[in-house]
Amino acid sequence: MIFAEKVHDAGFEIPKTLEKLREYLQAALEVEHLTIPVYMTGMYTIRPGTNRTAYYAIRSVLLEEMLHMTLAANLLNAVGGKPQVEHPNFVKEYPVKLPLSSEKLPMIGLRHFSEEALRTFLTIETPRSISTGVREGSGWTSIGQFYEAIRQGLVNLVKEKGEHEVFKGTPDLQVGPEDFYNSGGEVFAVKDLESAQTAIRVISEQGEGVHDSIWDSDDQIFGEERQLAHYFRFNEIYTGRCYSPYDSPKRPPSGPLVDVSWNDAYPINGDSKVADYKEHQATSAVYDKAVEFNTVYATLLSCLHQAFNGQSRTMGLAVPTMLELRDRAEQLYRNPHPDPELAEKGCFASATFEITAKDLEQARERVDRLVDAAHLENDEPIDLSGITAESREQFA
Amino acid sequence: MTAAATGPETRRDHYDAVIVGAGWSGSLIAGRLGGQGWRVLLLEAGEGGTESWSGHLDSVSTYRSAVAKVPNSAYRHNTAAPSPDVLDLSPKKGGGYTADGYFVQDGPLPYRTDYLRALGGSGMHWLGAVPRMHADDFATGTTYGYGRDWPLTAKDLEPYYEEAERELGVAGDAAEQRKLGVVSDPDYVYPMHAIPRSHIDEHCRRIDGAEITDPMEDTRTLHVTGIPQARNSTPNPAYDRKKGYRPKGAVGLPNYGERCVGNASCVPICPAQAKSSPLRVQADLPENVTLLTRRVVTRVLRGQDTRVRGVEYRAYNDPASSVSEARSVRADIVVLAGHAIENARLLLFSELAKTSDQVGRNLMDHPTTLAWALAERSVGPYRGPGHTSGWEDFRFHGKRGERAPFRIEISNWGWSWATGAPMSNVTSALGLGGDAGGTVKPDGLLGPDLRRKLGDDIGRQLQLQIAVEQSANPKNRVTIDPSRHRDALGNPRPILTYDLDPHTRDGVYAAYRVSEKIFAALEATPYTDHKPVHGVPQLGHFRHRETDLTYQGAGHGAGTHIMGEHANDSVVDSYQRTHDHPNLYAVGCGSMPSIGTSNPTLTMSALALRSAEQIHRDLAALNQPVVVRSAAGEKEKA
Amino acid sequence: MNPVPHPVPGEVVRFVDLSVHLTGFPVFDLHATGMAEMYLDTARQQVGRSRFDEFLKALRKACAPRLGPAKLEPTDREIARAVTYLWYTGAWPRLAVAAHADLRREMANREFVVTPSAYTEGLVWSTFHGHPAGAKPPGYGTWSIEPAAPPSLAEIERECGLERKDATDHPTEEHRQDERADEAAFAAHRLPGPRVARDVPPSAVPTARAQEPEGNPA
Repeated sequence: MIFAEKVHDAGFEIPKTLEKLREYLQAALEVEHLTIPVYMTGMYTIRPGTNRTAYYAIRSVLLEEMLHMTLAANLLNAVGGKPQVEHPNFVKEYPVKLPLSSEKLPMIGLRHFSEEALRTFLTIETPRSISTGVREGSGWTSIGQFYEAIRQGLVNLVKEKGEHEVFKGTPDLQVGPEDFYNSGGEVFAVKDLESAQTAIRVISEQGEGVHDSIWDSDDQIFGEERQLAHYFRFNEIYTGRCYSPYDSPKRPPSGPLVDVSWNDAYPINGDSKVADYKEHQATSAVYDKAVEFNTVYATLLSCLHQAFNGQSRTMGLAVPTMLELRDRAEQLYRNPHPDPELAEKGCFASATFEITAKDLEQARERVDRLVDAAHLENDEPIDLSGITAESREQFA
Repeated sequence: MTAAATGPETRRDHYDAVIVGAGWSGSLIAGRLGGQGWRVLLLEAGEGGTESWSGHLDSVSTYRSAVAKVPNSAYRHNTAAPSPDVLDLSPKKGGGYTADGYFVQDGPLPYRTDYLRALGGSGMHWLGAVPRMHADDFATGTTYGYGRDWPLTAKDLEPYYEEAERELGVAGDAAEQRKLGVVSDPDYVYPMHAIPRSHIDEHCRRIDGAEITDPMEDTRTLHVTGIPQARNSTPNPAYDRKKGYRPKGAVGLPNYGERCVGNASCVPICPAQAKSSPLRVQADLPENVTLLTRRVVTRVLRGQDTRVRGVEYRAYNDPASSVSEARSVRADIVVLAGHAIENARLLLFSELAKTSDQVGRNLMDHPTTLAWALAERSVGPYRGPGHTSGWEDFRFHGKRGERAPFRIEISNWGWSWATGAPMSNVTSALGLGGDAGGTVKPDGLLGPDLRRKLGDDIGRQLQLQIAVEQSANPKNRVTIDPSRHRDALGNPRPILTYDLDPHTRDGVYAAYRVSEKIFAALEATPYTDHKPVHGVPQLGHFRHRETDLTYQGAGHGAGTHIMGEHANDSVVDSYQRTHDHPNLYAVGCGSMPSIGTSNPTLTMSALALRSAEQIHRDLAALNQPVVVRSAAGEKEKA
Repeated sequence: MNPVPHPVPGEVVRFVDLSVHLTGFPVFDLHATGMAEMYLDTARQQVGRSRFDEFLKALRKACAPRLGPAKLEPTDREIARAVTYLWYTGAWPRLAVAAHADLRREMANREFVVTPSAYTEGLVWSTFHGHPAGAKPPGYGTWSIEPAAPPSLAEIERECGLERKDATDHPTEEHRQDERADEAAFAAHRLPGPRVARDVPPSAVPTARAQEPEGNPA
């Protein structure tokens, strides 16, 4: 992470300068991203055809995190910042300490679909209404509190400098609904205080709910059906029970049972690294496949980086890359761990989400090649016909 | 939406309008009338459930576990409201066929088209191809001396086409469609950018400009042309004078329904719900529209003079049984919006609209002949929507009077329709299943050889689906015989009498010959095969001009209550209102006097929206001088 | 509440190892379907447990040095094809009547899809840069992309660890050309032909007929 830890270490405060605000928004981008490998691992370790409710609950949150990441990039671009995604420090090695949240929280690791994984998810999404309040200068309590600080900072800066001075980013850098819709909501351009506040509202209310409720605000913002906020969607899976319409955030759900089967998952050792797999390279293809996975993951980051930095049509490559990762992840989780001792205990292989500077460099070249081949131009229809697939997994 | 499969019965016994059938037409009309404040009852014979996400997933699983992935394979069997299925038909050894499903068939050739009786109707399993009809298609009788003319022109329908394209959510390239001559407004753009073309389209574009002469000496120059589709793509910011378009999402799962991700299973089901369906319209129905499933309308009830007073129906709870209860409801206007064959069945059993003797007659489809070949190199089949382009060059003008015109769809799904590929490729390459005598075959491939062979063969599959126009012929018809052929609820089953006339057969023949020339131009090796297999003629086989030919059904059932200016030779007027009964409408493809070579859903939807305007005027007139309360507030209608 | 650990049973590992010879896909790809155990169960159920064990024994013998249909007795050969079909499509096929009778199976000789998830894990799709119709979609506009060339026989053999290392076993280039010529002669017989009706299951589709020069099959 580039800024998230720095902002965390400085403790709870409202950003007072434009520069600080940009650091906060970059930190936001990093924290949104941090959740993605965690949720992907939880979702793709589910055995095929089982735990459907859980699968779609995690999937819906994952899509919304991608929406949040894109909205955070739009916010950062709107205030003249430069989103950094393609950066070796952007991805931390898991398990990781969750920044901008309570110090007391446990580490966030990559865990297969299990009660432990759900506890991690709940940790990430803990709403302010559940965590305890703090004063400025002390530590962070929740990600919602962090976004509230950004919002306050924005409002203050607009008051102080005027809207024009704050929102001086290039409008062309915004990713719009043409490139991202119906996937956890709809991306929209951030151009002024009003749209910025809406973006922040989407992010924090989808995550932790409207005020003191279990519901998000999709009905008010997108004209869509309202949903449970992330924490509560996960709590239904964790407790194996649905919320009733009148349940409150502080009480456990009181509705009907949810069909959750913890046995129907591929147990993994989430802390396995490619270096561990390398030892078994002679007897297992897992090492090669895990390395390839990380290469494709780097490609995803590179696509997103370009999409957030003026080439919004590159989103059209990010989604297929994400879908390739889906297939590759599932394939890894279904293979026995290459270490025979671990395999004997019922442990399966896993995607490690490790990215090196070299991976990113190669990813950048690959994405440049793809963008060139496809002649992707903003405002033009997406046409990938110039591309030839480079492997049997790519775009297949 | 007020729908509930087993929810409360109707709260009232009188509605402004009762609509029979919750497919595209019924849903669009219900939406329009509901928006104007009318109290509407929408009755669906089939099952619901697919409007919930778990119901949708159940359909996806049903599809995945089906051996034959035919259009109805995603939807469960329903005893109370049975649907015809393409699996109901089998060929007989010495020629002829058997029909073992919902349809009784007694014609020389089988009617090979199905439909779906379920919430959303056949709009659930349709492909989503939405070409407009060409001006040339509306008056073939006058211009070319075959078929029936419309009482409407392409110009009359243009504003309704645009409306329908908004309602259905169409992605297309307007400039290309203008060139084809089906869009005339120079400023029009579709709500969304065209769906990207497939690599197969690109492969075929190599022969753009080639001249092909058909057996009638009609020469055309080939141009691969994109097809407009009701499928989410990239919204076009220039749409609607730069107001743009907001794509509609999935039904049953909030914030979902992204653009087409290429599941390549549009028929029978789009797992991502990027393909448009009537469920989207239903999700937005206002409170004053009541939608009930599991209500099989049995008859339209006669009223005073020539008017009708409502409908009689049977309500059931268990789709696996025939237990049901008879009920009735009254309405100022009755709209039949079932499938063409269902509308005809209802009119016949109700003994209504009899003046012209045309009810049930003029049954049509697009007889579709398949042609398949192996390309020289890999072309990337089984990816993307069913087809993204076609050769439109043999559709209009020229020697259309001598042979039926045809539209050549370039399939993106390899040989699946013709041969059951790619699964059947595995069978053949393995040598599985024994020889004709049941003995285990000696040769075949296994291991790396098998994998390499399949990768090579399947990747090169090209298939053309050539839909031929079939014109109105009163001998092709739906009848009923309630004393002999009834379904489980006691409703009369449709009896179909069907054949292809010489004009249509010449079209199929010309299409076959043209396909050979196209494959030759593409340097592809043809494998098209219409001959009997082990002595059994393929279903839909006929010989014409000393050539074996076969046709498939396109799922484009039409005719049966065609529109016209005169009560003595047509069933409905241009508003789809029966000539005989001022408050009875029969809407859908059944009203079409001809269907050209266009997939008919868009034209059907445009007609439905036009009818909705007239129904609104009728209702307003009926309620004069009363001021009607609208849903939105105290607004006077007129 | 802790889930019961369920390591991949040894018999499943062995079944997967043998299946490499049947399918031409490496161990990783076979495990990656998540279907190995279910396929073993299905095959045992369809053939009979002890008969299937006999088949596995015969198969193991026939795999060295290289598997070919001629190395198996007719019924074993048909079982080998059925198991391969299962891996490739997720469905158990209709068997040659003679094999069905020889096995004295008590169930109908009918094709069925094992589970909805088995269908989506069929290997056939990845032989040609595809994905199962109705599952694992690759993303908007990817159908415009030129597919990657399918792997060559040598690449497949290497990936599966089935290279012919033994010099005496390694065919000469001349031999390979002969093989290619044989294959071309059989090409038409190994393509599917038309179905007489839509209800013919894929495992009962006849092979294509040889082509006449002008394109209308004889």
